[in-house]
Amino acid sequence: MPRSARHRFAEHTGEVQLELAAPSCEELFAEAGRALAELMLGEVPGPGASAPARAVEVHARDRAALLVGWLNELIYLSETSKEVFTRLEVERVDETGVWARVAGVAPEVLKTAVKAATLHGVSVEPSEGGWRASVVLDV
Amino acid sequence: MASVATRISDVLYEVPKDARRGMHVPARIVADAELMAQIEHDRSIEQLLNVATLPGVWGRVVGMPDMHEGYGFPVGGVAATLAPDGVISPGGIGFDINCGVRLLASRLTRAEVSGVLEPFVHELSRSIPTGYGRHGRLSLTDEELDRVLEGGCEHVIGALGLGVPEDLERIESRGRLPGADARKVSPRAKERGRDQLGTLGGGNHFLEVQEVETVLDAGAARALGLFEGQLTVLIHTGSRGLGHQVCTDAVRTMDASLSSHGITLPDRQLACAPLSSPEGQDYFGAMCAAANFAWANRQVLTHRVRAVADRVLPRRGEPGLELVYDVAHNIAKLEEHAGRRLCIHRKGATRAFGPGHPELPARYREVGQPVFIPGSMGTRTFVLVGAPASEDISFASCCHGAGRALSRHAAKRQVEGHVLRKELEAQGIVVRCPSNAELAEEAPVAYKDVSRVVDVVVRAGIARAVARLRPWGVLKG
Repeated sequence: MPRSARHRFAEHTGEVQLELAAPSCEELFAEAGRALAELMLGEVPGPGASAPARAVEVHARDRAALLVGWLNELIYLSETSKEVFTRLEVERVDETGVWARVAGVAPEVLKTAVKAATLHGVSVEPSEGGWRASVVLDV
Repeated sequence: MASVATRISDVLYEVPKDARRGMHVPARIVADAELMAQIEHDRSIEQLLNVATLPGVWGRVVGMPDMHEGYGFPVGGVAATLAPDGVISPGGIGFDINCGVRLLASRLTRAEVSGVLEPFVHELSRSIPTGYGRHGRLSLTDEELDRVLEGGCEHVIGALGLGVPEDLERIESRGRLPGADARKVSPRAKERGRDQLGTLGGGNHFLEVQEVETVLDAGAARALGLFEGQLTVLIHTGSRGLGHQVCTDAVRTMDASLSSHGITLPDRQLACAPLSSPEGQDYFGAMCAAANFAWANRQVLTHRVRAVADRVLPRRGEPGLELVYDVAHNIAKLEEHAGRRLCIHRKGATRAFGPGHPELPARYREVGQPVFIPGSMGTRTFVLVGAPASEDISFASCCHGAGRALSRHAAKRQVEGHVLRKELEAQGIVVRCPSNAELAEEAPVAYKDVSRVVDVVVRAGIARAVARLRPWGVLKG
């Protein structure tokens, strides 16, 4: 089992491929949100956000589409509220739903424009007692 | 994948439709041996063959010489589906609906403005919002936004006065797709786009101040109003967050409706629906509206550039910056080819009608449709015109850029942003980009050789080369 949640950005010619691993599916989704924030800010997010207060709830037809939907929800909220969500508490994830609370910072400039998360080759699956996932982001 | 493609001429490869199970049509790739080797470096051919399995795909799928791996469709891919029941696939257009390029030309030479070039670029950077999520000066009400979505440039020029009537015929489809239906654009998409009209955005979007360095075809250059030494401005951007959300919404809806249409796909991001289905019609109406928003965006930016030019550049009593043409490179359009009504998906590819096409304005009917091929930041841009063979080879389509060769990470490993900035400045190029890292991601080394890409489409007979433009100022999000 992965002892803690982690992510890496893998090589992709045109876009960004995000690979994730975590001990639980909730931590996996939270890590996906943190990776998105890192990509947008260009650095590992520091402290600064207040306690997560904004409730976010997303539903989709399966767990892979749910990860894409969750990231797209954060992208939409980010663009319309001009925030990057650096603190994420994912309370529950099941096969078709995610419930979370998030808080963000409002940077002057964003480093990377993330247009959307895609269904291209997306996977979310149990692995070695934990969870792992892969998703391509259009940047 | 190399073994499945057969070389059929110096600049064309073909993959027969029996190369892989499920393909309905063959694939054709416009490339020479060197570009083909680069194309085979990633999964773009596999992605092109996936597109050849879509229901209703017709004729052939086509890969351009700048093709590279995308998500679902390759970037630099063209696919036709038979209307009305063939599919429309949002992934075949992309998230940045009607990302495109427009070229403005002055009557001044670069030499005449050399003393004010830096202030010109600086004032442009102050006047034009760049970067992700940055808002513009226009914040539209629901009613105003709907009028932009359905009226496109006709509304922005006619009702808002941001441009001159002569601009309209120099924009693909006069900057307005009649299929647009603002009611099909979700409230979320409208919320994302509401304050983004007149903004450049981030990523690979940019604005360049350039000089016509070399005229390659004197007659065609004359028809386009271009001459050596001339100052030009190139604008590359699209439909911003509004278009991204239209695509996000449609992929989600169509992914859920696949089974009801009996469609199975090799890649979920190819999510699609018959054009005639409710899902297909809803997306088509929203996509056309987002395309109109993108044309309106480039028009508002043009208005801002003209205002800065009027303030900063010398005037000689002539019109300031004239629009040469505006061409989309992420779009689906209903067109007639080979006597059939087809839905042409162009993902990272531009329309390139040859001479005589009835949709071209009188001004360009004899010469062919202008096409612009920007290189990477700081390198040359090529001006082309569509040529007759484009109809048979590529559904009248051409390449859209140099095409990425390296991932953003790989580019950053090879190039340091601050070094690149100094190199560009040493060439006399004024750079306005807040982030060195983002500068490095778009470094010339990350892209294929634009000259080779252009040489291949010219040799294939898809287009004629008209002029080469050299950058003097770069404004990047």
